[in-house]
Amino acid sequence: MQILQSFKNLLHRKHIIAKTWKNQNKRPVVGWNSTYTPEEIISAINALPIRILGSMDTTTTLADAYLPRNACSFARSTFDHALKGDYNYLDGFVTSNSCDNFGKTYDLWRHYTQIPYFHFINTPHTNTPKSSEFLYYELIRFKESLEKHFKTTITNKTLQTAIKTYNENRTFLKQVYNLRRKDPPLLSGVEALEIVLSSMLTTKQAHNKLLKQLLSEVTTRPDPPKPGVRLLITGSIMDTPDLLNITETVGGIAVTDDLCTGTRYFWNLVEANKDPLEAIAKRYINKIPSPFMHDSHRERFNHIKQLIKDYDVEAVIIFLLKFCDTHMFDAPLLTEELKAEGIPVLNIEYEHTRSGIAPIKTRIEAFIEMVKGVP
Amino acid sequence: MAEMNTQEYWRWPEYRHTVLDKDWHNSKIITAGVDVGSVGSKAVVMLDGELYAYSAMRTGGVSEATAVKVMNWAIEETGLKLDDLHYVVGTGYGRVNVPFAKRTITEIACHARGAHYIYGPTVRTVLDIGGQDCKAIRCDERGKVLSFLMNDKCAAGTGRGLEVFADLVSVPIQDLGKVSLSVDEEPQPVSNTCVIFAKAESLALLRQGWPKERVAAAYHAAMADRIVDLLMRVGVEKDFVVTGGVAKNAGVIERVERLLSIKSLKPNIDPILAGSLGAALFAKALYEKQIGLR
Repeated sequence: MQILQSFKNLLHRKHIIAKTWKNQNKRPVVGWNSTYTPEEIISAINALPIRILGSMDTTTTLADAYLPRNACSFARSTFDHALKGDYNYLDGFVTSNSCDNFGKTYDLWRHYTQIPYFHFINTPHTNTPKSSEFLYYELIRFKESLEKHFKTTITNKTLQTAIKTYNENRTFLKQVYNLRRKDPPLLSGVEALEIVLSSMLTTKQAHNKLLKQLLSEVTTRPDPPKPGVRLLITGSIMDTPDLLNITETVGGIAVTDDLCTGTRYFWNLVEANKDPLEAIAKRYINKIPSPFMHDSHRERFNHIKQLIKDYDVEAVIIFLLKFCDTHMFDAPLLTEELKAEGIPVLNIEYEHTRSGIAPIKTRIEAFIEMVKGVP
Repeated sequence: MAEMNTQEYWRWPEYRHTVLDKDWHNSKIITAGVDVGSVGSKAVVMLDGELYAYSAMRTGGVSEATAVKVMNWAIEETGLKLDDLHYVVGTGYGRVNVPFAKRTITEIACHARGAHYIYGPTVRTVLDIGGQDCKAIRCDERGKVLSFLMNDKCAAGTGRGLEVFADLVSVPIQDLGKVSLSVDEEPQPVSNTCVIFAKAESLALLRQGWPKERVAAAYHAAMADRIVDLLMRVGVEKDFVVTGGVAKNAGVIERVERLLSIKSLKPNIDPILAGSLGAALFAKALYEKQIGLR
């Protein structure tokens, strides 16, 4: 289907597309890496917020010279791209202290790249009424910082417009995910991941148009995915389709996920509020939590269990990026809880490179055989 | 020029054998399993689900060539030709490189199935220690996999590690286990996270004047620790069995049994064949399905 190629293009030609946008619109491109970055505020200055993504098919020689061995290999991969100059076109870089790797590599990005604007959002790690209030003040600080650096003003009106566009995108993405409830699903896991990732690489207005077209065309697609063992994918950031590609060539089909490049990115809307910044603060503090949030796994596990029900999931794969400590601490709890409910779970620890791909494939294949049964 | 004739301590014997004194012309279903592992390749031929002939050799640089070679060697004295095999299943890391196989199945499923054949239906936990990885598999009374764990990338606690160690201490690999058990008192294990580190540590102990038996004990103890860590995570239930090449190393197996306070069943069939046996059994089931018997 042609429209699916558009999403794939956005992902695979992300740097060219962002640079072209910048030249055509004469507006800044701002990179972000944590899903706790309120893109709405960046979008309100007519900038293009794009998510910093790594790749699995390159080595990380440059980054290795600076980072400790126990830095997660996603942080390693993205920092390596920065050192190679792949992100030189960025006009700004924003992160939050979600996990330690994001928080600390921020300092290195700031020191070793020439990006002119940096901002760090202090995201609370617990969900209490006071932390929501704290985040609200952090967002005011962020807004003022953007206004000062980019010499512009952000009004309630521009924020409300951005919120509307973002909510629309989230609603569309949820509708896209609904197409995966069917058996076989109308979209493969790889396709769905490309759709969500691409939403972070172009303006939401442009992406909404593509999603509208997809939603109208996909129900009659002539080439739906093959049926397979229906999987929920969870774990560390999944910024490339490589692992899902492997999974779907050995008889699995990813039908939903709990990923920060999946449901956790778009599941929650910003609710209507007279004060848009307060509304945004509430959305980010109340969203399906990432595992860096303390005392929060119950909420995330419930989200996963609801998805398992709604999407008719047969088994779960937890993909753990090496040294992604926040997910690794949660993984045994999640594994035990799901197994107790009779859901097979596979834990895969991997590096953000090609290394160890063959044994990973064997594990996934054996897991699929285990769930499906061999003759 | 004169060449030194150096003994290759790491080299384990390659072999072939015809088990059954049977004429395959009288059998209904002839199936085979080929297990192209990272270090060794194994082929098994079964007549109506009974072990007929097998071979085991080192995996060469080209998996396809090894697959053909090991299969042809297994049938060498039987009069069988590749075309006579009704159904062949490939397994192991090189499973996609078996040109004459109709289907591939992972070594995890095959080892469970093969262990079920070798040790019987009471098997619940299979430990497969291969050339480059180690798997702990839980299975049911039909040999079906219930859960499994594989070691991470590192080859410590695997056959390749033993090959490296045999070379270091100049003890033939078949004798290593026995040698490691000949100490009066068990020393502290060496580092168990990496073959190269473990080797470096062993070398340091030899330099300190430790006898090779004692160093061997420290090395085998480290392997056992690492294997037990994997087994504990998957959970061990009786009956417990070991497959793969390292199943033949008493130094590793006895230490694992000691740490777990559980004895493993002893095999009547070479446990290195478990993967290829499982593949040949799956091949039989698949062939029966294909011709409508199932």
